[in-house]
Amino acid sequence: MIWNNCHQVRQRLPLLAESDLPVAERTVVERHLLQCPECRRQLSLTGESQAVLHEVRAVRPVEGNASVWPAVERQLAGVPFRQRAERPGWIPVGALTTACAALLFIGVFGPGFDSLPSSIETVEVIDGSGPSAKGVSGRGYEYKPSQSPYFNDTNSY
Amino acid sequence: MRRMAESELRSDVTVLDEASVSDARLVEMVRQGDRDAFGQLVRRYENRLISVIRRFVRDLETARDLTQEGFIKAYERLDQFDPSRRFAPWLFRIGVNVALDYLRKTKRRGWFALFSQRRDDRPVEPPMRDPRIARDLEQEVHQVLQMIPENYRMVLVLRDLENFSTSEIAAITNRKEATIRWRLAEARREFQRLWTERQERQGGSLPKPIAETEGGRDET
Repeated sequence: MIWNNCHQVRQRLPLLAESDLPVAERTVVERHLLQCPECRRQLSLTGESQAVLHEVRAVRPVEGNASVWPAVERQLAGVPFRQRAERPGWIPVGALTTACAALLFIGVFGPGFDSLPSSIETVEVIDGSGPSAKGVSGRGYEYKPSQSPYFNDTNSY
Repeated sequence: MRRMAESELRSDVTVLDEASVSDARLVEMVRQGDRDAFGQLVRRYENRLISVIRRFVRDLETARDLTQEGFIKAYERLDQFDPSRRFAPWLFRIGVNVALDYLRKTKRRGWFALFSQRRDDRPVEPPMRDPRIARDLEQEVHQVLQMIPENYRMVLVLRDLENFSTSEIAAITNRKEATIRWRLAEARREFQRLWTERQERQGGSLPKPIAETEGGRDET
């Protein structure tokens, strides 16, 4: 592993400053530092800001003396421990099978299935040669065959 | 007198017992309906959890409330806990998330309050801070930490303020250790940038760490 690039080394300086760098990388970074004064200066700056954090770490927040358990226990009163709900194994399998079947149905008999004679008939009806589209499709809107890319080519599926 | 000695001995044994029972055993006991076992877990980890939460939320009472909330959530979700893993990182993950959720809610409320104010009520310029007000280092650092994105701040706080190892943080956050190290490097770099900027803006009037001032004294 050879890094002559200061950028790559500097990315690792914050970890080197606190001995969080894996040994293999540390050796390479330290070797680079021996010959690069600017990276050494950067490491020194990192050390300064880390010293600030060390100082704050030393100031432990004052914890309250009293335990929180009595308050927790009061809130847990009447809450029985919830056992993991036993789910029968067939439910996810069943749901998955149903979803696959539904997708297959939509894929085969969905709006793109141009070999369905009833769809064609419905379109013809809308064009004015028969009862209203609403009456046939029951959807209440008029379908224009030219608007659908799926109907342009009869071999689209 | 003899009865007193016996009761002291019994309490000593209880303390020993509490310390010697593993987390995994206690979790199992809780799952079997032993609520006192959960009490032992609470007593075992409450101080550390309050300490961690206080690094995010400075107010002690709020931190205690959030700690309670964390324990209650842990109890309610104990059925989801994988007993083959360690309990402490799982608990700290819940605690830290409770603290971060609280901060997010407070931030949202803060924005709402800002925008819901009548325009005339708001000062045109932000009020100047009185330089005479003494600000301690911890408070300053806390303010700078708030500017660091949450995912990075969490790693920085856990590593540099709470002294968790990178592998422990990986367990707490459920991320790979390499990811934690990368975030840690970014977070430290960002903290350094923000801290330097703040110092420059305030003309070096920020409180300096003792180590730094002592080092300076040695050199002269």
